[in-house]
Amino acid sequence: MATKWKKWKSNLGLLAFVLGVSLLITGGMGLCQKLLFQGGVQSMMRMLKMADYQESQQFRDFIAYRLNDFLNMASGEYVYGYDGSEYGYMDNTAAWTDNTLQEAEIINEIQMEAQEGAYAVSESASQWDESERFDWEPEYTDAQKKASAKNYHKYRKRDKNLLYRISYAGKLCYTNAEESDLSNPNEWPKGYNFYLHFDGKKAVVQKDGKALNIYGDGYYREGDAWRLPGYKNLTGKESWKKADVVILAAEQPALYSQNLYGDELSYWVNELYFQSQNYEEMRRQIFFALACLSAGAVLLVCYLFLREGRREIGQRVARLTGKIWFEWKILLLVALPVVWFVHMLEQDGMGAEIWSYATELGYAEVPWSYATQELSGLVCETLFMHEKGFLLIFWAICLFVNDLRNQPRSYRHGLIGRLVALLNSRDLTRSLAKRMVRRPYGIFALTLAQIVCFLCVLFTFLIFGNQMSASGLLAMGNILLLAALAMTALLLASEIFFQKKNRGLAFDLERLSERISSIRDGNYDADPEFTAEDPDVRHMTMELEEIRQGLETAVEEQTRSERMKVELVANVSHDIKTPLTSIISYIQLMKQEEGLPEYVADYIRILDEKSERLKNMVQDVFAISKAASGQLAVDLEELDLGKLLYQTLADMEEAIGESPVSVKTEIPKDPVPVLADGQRMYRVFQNLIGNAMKYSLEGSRVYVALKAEGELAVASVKNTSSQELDHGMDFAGRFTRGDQSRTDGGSGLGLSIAKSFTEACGGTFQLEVIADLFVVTVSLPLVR
Amino acid sequence: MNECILVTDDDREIVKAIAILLEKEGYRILKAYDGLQALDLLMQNQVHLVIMDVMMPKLDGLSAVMRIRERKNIPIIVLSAKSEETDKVLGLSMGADDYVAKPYNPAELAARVKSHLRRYVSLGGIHTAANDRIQNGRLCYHTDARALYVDGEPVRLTATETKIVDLLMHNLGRIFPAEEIYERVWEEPGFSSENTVMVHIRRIREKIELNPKEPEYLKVVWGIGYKMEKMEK
Repeated sequence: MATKWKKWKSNLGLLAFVLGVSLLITGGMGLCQKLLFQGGVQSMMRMLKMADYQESQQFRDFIAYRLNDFLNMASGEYVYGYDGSEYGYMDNTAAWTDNTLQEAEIINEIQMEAQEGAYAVSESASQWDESERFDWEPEYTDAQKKASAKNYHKYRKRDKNLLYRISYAGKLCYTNAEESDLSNPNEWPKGYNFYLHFDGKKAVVQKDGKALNIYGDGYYREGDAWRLPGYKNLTGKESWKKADVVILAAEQPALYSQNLYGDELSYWVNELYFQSQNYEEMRRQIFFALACLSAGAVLLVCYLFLREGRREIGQRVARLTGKIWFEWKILLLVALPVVWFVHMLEQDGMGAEIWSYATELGYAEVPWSYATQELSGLVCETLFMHEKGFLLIFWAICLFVNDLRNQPRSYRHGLIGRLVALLNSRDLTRSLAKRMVRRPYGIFALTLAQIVCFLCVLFTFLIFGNQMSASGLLAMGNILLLAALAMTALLLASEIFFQKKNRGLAFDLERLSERISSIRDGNYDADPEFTAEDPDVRHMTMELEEIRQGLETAVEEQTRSERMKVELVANVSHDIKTPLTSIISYIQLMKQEEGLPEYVADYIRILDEKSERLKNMVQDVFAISKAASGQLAVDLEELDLGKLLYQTLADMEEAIGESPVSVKTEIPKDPVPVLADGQRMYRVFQNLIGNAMKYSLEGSRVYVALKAEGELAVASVKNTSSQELDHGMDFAGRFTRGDQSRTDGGSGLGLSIAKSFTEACGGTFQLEVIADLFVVTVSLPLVR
Repeated sequence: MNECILVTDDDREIVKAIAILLEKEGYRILKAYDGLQALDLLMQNQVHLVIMDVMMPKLDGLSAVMRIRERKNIPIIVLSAKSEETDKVLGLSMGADDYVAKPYNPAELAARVKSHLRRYVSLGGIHTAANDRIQNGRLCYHTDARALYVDGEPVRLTATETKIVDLLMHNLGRIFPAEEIYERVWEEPGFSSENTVMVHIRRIREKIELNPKEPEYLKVVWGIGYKMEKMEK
C-alpha cells in the first residue's frame, strides 16, 4: 500500500514538475515579450487595470495624428499619401515591390506591425508622412493639396468609429457625421464616449463626460501622453489657428467593412476596431501569462512536497530515454531548434526582415550598433513569441541532460558506440604486444595519409596551375586547401586519441613497475587502489596481486613458524635445564665425596665434562634460534674493532697458551671504529679463535688480521686445518663440525652463532677454504 | 646459631641438592615446594635468606618475592631456568637481591649465599657512609688504607692490583682504555698493554667476583676498555 502510494506520489511529483516548469516558461516568456517589446511595465500595469482601449498610448497617438491630419485638411495643407499620385501607397500597393531597399524595409515593418496592431501602422505611416512631407511639401501644387484632402476624407469617412467635424474659419469643411452636429454634446450619437475639440489654439478632451488635463504645466516633453498642438513649445502651424476640429471616438469600435480581401483599405478603415481588438487580445495574453506563471508557481510548490523520489524518477525516465540511440538524440537536439527557427522565420516573414538587417550590417552608412541591436531585438522577440517551440526544445534538452546524468555511458548506446565497442573487442582479442605494436602503425598510417593529402594539393597546383585561369585556380586551391586542412584536423584528432590510449597504457605500466618495486622492497600490504585501465595490464596486476598474496602468506607463515621455533627452543631448553640442574648439582656433590674408588672418580669427571657441554649446547641452541629469528637484542655502540680483537685475545690468553698453536696478529694501531654490539662481537671472535685453535694443525699459526677497506672494517681469522676439509661443506650451518663423528667438545654451533651474531650487528660473515687454509672474514661497516 | 636458609623449588631433587650443598657449609635449611608453602614457613621460622625458583605451582616465585618484600628485608636469591637479560631485570625489580640462572654452578651459588648472608647478618645491612670509604655493592674500598673489603672481608691485593682497584674504585662506572690504565698504573707509555692489563684484571676478578667467568663488578667493555660497574644498592 505504502509503496503504491509512494509510486503515485512520485508520478504526481513528476507531473507537477513538468507542468509547473512548462507553465512558468510559457508565462514568463509571454510576459517578457510584452514587457520588453510592447511598452514596458507602465503600459502593462495600465492594461491590467483597465479594459478600456482608449487608455492605451496607441489610442492617444492615433488621435494626435488624426487631429494633425484633420487640421491639415481644414487649413488646405497637403495630407500626405492621399492625392492618388506616385506616392499614394494606399492605392498603389503593387508599386512597392519595385522600390528600393529602404522602401522594402518599410514594407517589412508594416507587415510586422500589422500583426502587432493598427497603432504601429498608423504610427510608422504618420511618421513617414511627416518627414516625407517636410521634404516634399514645396513641390505640391494647390490642386494636389486639395486632392489629398479629399482623398483622405474619402477613405476616412467610412470609419464610423471615429467621427469628425472639421471647419475652417467658422465654415464646415468635412464631416462623416452629417446628421448630427458634433460640436453640440446633445446631438452626439450613442456609443461614443471620447470627445476632442480643437479650437485653433488648444484642444479640450473629454472622456465619459469628464475633462482630461492634457497640457500639464504647458510644456511638451518627450514621452508625454498627448502630443497635441497647444503646448507653449508645440503650437502647430500658423494656418491651423483658424481651424476648428471635433473628434468623437466609439467606446466599442465596430467592423465597418467585411470585405477584407477585395478592399485593402478595410484594415485602414477599421483601425480603431482593430486597435481595440488588439488591446483586448494583449490584455488576454498578459492575463494568460500571469495565470500561467501563478499556476506554474503553485505546481512547483506542490512538487516541493512530492519530490521525495526525485532521483528515482530521473532514473526511470532515463531508462526510457536510454533505449533511444544516442545518434537520434543528437540529431533531434540539433534538428529541433533548426526546424523551429526556420518555421518561425517562414511563418512570420521574419526571415526577410532579419535578412535585411543582416545585410544592413554590410553597409557602411548604417551604424553597427543599430543594426545588431535591431537584429538581436527581432530575434529575441521572435523567440519569445514562439514559446511552444521553445518549450519543446527546453524539455528535449532536459531529457538529454537527465539521460546523461543518470546514464553517464549512454553515449555508448548507438551506432558509433557499437562500432567502437566492436573495434575495441577486436582489439582486445590481440595480445598486449600486438596491440602496442599496432598503435604506432595507426599513427604512422595517419601521418602517411596526411603527407599524401598535401602532396596531392601540391601536384594539382603544379600540373594544372598554368592551365587554369586565376580565379579557377584560386577556387580550386581553396577547396583543396580546405580539404587538406579538414583531413589534417581529423588525423590530428585520431592521433590524439591514439596518444591518449598509449599514455594510459604507459601510466598503467609505470604503476605496475612501481608496485613490483614496492613488493620487492618487502611491502606486502594490499593496495586497493592499485588497478589498471588496460585489460592486459589489469590482468598483469591481478597476477601480481596473487603473487603478492602468496608472498604475504608465505612471509607470515615463515615468521609464525620462526616464532614458534624460538618458542619451542625456549621451552625445550627450559625443560632441559631443570633436569640438567639436578644432574650438575649431584655431580658436584659426588665430586666432593671423598674416599671413592679411582675409577668412580673418573666416571664422575666424565659426567662433569659432558654435563657442562650439554649446558653450553643448550645455551648456544637458545642463542642461535633467537638470532636466526631476528629476536636477538643487539645494543649497537661505536667501538674500536682492533681493541676488541686485542681484548678477546687477552681474554683467551690462557687457552691460547695451552694450545699447540701460536696466534699472530696484524691489527693496525689506529682505531678501527665500527658500530656493533661489543658483547656479541666478542662472542664471534671468541668462537672463531677458539675454533681455529681447536682444529689447527699442531705447531701451525693462527692469523688474526684487521684492516679498513673502503667503507668496511674487515677482520679475518686464518688457520691451517689439521684435517682435510670437505670443500662442499656448509661450515656455518648448524651442528656442522670439523669432526663428523661429534666426539669433541664443541656444540657444532660456534660458527653458526658467529655468523648469526655478525649479521645481527649489521655485518657480513664469509667463510673460505683454500686447500687446508680455513679463512673466516667478518666485515662491519666503518664509522666515519 | 646457624643461619637459616629457605630453599624453594618445585623440583624436590634440586631442593635436596641445594640443601646438601648448603648444609655442608653449616647452614640450617628449610625446604618448600611451592610459593605458599614458602610463605608459611617464613611466618613460622626465623629465616635469614631465601632461595626461590620462579616457575612453581600455586604461587609463582616472583609473586612470592613480592609478598615477602612487603614484610621482610632478608636477602632473596631467585633461581630460574630463564636466563634472558629481561628475566633478570624483571626478577631484580620485583625485589630480589640476586638472580642465578639454572643450571647453576653449585660453588657459585654457595659463594653468593655466603656473601649475601655475611652482608645481611654481619653488617646488618648498615652502610656506614664514611668519607674515607667507597661502598659499591659487596665491595668496600678504604681509600686511606687503600684496602678492599668484599662482604666485609679484606682482600689481599698485590701493589699493581691495588693501584688498578684504586683507580677504578675512584671512578665507578667510567670506562678506561687499557692504555690509560697502563699509563696511570705503571706510569709508562702503554703500547700493546692489553695483555698485561687483562692479566691483572683477571686476577682481581678471581679475588672479588663470585663467578670470575661472568663478572659483575670488573667488566670488559668490548672494543673500548674496562670499568668497575657501579651497583645500584
